[in-house]
Amino acid sequence: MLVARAAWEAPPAVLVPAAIVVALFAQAFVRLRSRGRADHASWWRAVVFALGVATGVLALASPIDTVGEDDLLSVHMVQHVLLGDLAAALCITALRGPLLFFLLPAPVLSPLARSSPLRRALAFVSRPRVAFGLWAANLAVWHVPAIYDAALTRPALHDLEHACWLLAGVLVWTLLVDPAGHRRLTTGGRLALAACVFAAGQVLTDVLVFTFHPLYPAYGGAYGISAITDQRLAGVAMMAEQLLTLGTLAAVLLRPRIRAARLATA
Amino acid sequence: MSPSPTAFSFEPLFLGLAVAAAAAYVWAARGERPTRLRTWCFGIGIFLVAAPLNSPLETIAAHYLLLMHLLQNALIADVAPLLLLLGLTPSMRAGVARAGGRPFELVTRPQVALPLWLAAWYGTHAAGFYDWALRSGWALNVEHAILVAAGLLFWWPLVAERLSTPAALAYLGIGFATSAFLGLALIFSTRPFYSFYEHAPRLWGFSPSRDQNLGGVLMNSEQTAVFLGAIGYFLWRLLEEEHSRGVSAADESSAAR
Repeated sequence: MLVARAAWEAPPAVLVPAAIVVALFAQAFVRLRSRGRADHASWWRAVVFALGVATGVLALASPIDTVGEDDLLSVHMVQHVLLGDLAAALCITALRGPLLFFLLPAPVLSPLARSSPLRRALAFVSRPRVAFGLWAANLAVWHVPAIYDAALTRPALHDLEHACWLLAGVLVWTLLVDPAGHRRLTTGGRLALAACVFAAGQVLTDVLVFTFHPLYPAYGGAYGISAITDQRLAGVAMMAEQLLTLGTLAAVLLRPRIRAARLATA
Repeated sequence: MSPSPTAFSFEPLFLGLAVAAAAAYVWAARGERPTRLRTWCFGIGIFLVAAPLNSPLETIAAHYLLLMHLLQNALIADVAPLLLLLGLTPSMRAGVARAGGRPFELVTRPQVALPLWLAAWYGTHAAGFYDWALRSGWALNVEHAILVAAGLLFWWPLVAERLSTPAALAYLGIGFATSAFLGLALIFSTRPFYSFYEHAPRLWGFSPSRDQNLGGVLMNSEQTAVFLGAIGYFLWRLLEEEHSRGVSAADESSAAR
């Protein structure tokens, strides 16, 4: 039973977009290096980007998808945080700087850049309060038990859920990492946004961990894990992943500030 | 025969210490008058050390429920020390640091205080020590004293401003992440860790496992609230510092270049 469900899949809806994204990155990488700017297109960026794409594909095409959908809420949670947090964070980190602007070929980028409605819409959703609000709303809505269970039985809704996770993650991590150097937020602002994201995630974690009855009827426990332990593990998975990604971001942002403060007092 | 759960306990050691600390505060306040807010903080801090140990909370904690013992520990280890330190004026803190001398300076260094606090947190909750403390009675006072002292050490570098704001955020983040495992272990446990509570009389229908799980929930909630509150304060301070220096995101950008 376990072997049957723990199967790898090759869904075109996942592999085709992943292949397109890899191709776009590859052409940006080659174009930038051919212009002698290997400093903005180093190999570690290719590795980080590959890791990001691989994380997204792993979340949607590996046994994480089948086990998460059929058996364990905790594995489903792992899938969501891999997709909406880790994969998004890795890809955006890899794209910092000129690479981002080379990602789309000029014939595609130019009309998009000239489109006023698109620019206005992007400027609106990129406001920190709006971006955080959308991220938190996405988190809250998809964890309403009725909606969560409905998504498990309707493939189209489930795909929409995954797309929402990815988009919300990209939106928030774009502000946190600031790949285009727009500097909408200071270091303190980025740390505050990271803290808000963690606090919102913590609310969900607390609900999952501190509730003494299963919230999602679709999951009855599996592989010797009871439904309530599974639910608590889901909460811990969310907290652990957020501590890892947001903690790393906080460390990266705080390190130069701590060093500067130390030098100032020395 | 266990006492009634509503019976008041009496811990003269902590009552005496609370009275002595209050008297010292009043004496020190003659030199530099603390604000009303500081006085309230110190007063509530004293109350949170003395009251949990001299009330039915201690009776239930020492004879019936781990849940109440963990609530007690959370109050005296996390909340009370922070309030006590917030109640001190800068000159009071300077006086304490002077009186403590070199050893105090050493143990309140962040890189020393944080590991000491973690060692106290996990060490006092180790099954062997916990059961021994509960059975011997007097050692329970040692456990509580260790927790209060460790809490004071942990919060001192933050309240005494021995850390820059970014460093304070890192200190709190590390403290929060590394101390969470105890609460999680208690939440996820399916068998009781402490034999004392396994054989203690039951109260309010809680089984030993349920009692332990609820204790973990309480501990985790308390720590999350206290740490996220403190992190929120230091984030606000970081933003204020940036604002007062006139630092904008664009300035940071050009500085980085």
